[in-house]
Amino acid sequence: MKNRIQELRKGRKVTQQELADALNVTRQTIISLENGRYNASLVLAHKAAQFFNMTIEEIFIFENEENL
Amino acid sequence: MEAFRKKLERRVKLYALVGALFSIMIIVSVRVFKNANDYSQGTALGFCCGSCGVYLFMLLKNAAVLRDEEKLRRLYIETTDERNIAIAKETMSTSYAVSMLVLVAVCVISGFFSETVSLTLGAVIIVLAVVRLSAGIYYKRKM
Repeated sequence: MKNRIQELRKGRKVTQQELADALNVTRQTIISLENGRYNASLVLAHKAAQFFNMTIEEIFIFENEENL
Repeated sequence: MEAFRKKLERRVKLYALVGALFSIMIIVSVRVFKNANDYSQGTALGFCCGSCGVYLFMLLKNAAVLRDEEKLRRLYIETTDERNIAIAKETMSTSYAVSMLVLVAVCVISGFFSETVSLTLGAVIIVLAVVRLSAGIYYKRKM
């Protein structure tokens, strides 16, 4: 699943470590999220949305996936 | 975070208890079973000493974490990070499957050389399968 986390993070001049600390995850998780290698859970997606003050749909791009 | 701290404190006490138990087993191996054959005594002693060392290391490591707020926070994040939890679950699942395959193969092959070894491995396979089945049933009911 694609997302705009890296774009939003850089736009707000936040480092990966700072974002990780804010979301209570490791920096490796943020890296994997930004690379699209890992899909966030609902809880983490919600935390990210609160951090960026946006909706989940504005951050995470839902495409036509078989799993959905 | 406070719940995690309390959990860690309980874990430190558990490590101390288990380490003490293994220490007692070392003494028992040396004193009580001194007439046992070398292999049996060596295996028991080696296992107990190794386990004692591991639990002592874990005890000291976690006790040091409890004294430092920043280290405690880092450990909390590492432990509760959802990606790390997902990796651990996938690792366990794959490891179990591969281990069972290897055990079955070795069990069959060893049957041509030693019945005792083959039967022992067969028993291990059955125990692992039953434990896995029981855990599956438990978590299906729980979740």
